[in-house]
Amino acid sequence: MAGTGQTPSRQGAGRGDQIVTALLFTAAAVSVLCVAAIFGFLVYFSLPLLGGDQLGMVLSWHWRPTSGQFGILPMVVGSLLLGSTAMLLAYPLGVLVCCFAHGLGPARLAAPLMAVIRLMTSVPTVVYGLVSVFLLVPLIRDGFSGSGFSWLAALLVLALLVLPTIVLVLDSQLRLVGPPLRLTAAALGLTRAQELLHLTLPLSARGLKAAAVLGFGRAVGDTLIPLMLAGNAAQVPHSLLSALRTLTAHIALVVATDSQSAAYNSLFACGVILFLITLAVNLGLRRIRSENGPAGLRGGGHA
Amino acid sequence: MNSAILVEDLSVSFAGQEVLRGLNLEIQAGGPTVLVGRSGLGKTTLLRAVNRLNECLPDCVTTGRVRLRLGGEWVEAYGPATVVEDLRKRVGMVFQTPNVLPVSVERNIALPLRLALGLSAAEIEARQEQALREARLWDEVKDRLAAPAQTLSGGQQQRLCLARALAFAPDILLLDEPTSSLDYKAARGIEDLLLELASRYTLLVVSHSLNQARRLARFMFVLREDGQVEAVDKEALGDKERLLTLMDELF
Repeated sequence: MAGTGQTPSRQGAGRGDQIVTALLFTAAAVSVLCVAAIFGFLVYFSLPLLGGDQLGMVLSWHWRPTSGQFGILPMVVGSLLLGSTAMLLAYPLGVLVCCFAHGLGPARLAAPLMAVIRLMTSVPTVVYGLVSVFLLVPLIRDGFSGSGFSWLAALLVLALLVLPTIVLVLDSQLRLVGPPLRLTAAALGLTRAQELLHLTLPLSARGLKAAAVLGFGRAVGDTLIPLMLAGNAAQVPHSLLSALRTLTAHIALVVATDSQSAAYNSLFACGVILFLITLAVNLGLRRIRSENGPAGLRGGGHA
Repeated sequence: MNSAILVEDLSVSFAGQEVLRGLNLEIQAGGPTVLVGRSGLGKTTLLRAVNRLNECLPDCVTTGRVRLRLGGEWVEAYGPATVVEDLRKRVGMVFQTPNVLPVSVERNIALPLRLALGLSAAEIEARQEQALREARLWDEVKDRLAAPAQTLSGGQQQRLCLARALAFAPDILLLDEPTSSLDYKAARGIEDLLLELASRYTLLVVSHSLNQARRLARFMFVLREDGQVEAVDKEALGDKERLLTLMDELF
């Protein structure tokens, strides 16, 4: 009979494995269900918007709740502009910080640099916001024009906020990919910089993409920084110095002041769109990975 | 005699733990020179002291002097004027386990050549084919140069590593138990190859197998328990019984 040869201790280990598997499966299932439930909840509550002319009203360019106009498109544009410009600044900076810590800079500075980056993750967002209101905003106001509460102020601080996310995700990938290559690369007469730029980084495509997805998710999802610094005018900004309002700040503002009207209902659409933006970025980057292959080093060319 | 490597009073320690102490050694050009000894005595450390690879490992301290004859000139391996990358380009190394880069077969050779030597695409292509032929791998891989190197068999991977080292046209080749991860037939193939290459390169081979050492060695050294090396004289090398007796004493 099958299984009769098993010793009691092996059976015990098997049962232990089953329990662990069941626990892990439950944890994974709960996580997936939570995300699905949130999305389902958002869709369910935005359903009323789909009927009649409600959708056209929400997907329009004017937010004037007093005159019955609940357009959220300026906020969609605001979120996309702020999130992507913050990433344009933070992502290259994050990659450079990682390169510096992984061999481009002096080895003795690597540990202190990474310690500072880790410390940055523990600074509450509201502290960044508050300090910027008193330091950065006056600087922009005096240096340029306007009130200082602007796209520029928010993007600079938001870049600082997402920097540790980018650096730490990429750092963990480089720590995984780098060490097995070190002796080989050194024995071939490559410098640390060549090893990093031509081997370790291209072979860390996974980490580079994960850092981009998580960084962008953090940038688009952050509420306090745009709320405190971006000026919150429900408009499409015409320059870096004009105010903008993001979807997240918009939700926070409306919830704080109103909870009954059609304005409140439009917030669910904001939630769905936020959800879809991060999902789209995630899937888009996944696609790039499957098209280019994991290494980006495949194929023969000598370049 | 024509020396290629001179080691004087070499000591290497890792995190305060001394692995080699006051070691002196003279390696002749050509070879193969085979270094045997029990595991854990520092054969690999001695080999890596020649191309300064120990420095890539944490808390390594090296003292003493290593001189290498590169391109007809003596070079102080640990001299302040020596650029370590330049040294390593002229002292090739093949590791114990095949250490192919996780890229295609041809990129394994092309990438280091382009980065380290800055060669043109045409020159790289020529050297690549020549090196693969020299390592007797060309016929097996010429139709799958774009395939990932990890898809090759263990013996093929090790010959690719050898080809990669040969493509640099080095003066000295260091081989750290190059056949230990291979089956008998693949190992014998590599051994034949090394005997052939010894006419053009200085070969320093670490081996844990006495039989292999007998087949390969033109010169043999034994690394002893006390961290010193002892030369095995020519007559002993040719006489199996005498060699075995000597080994029993030394090991």
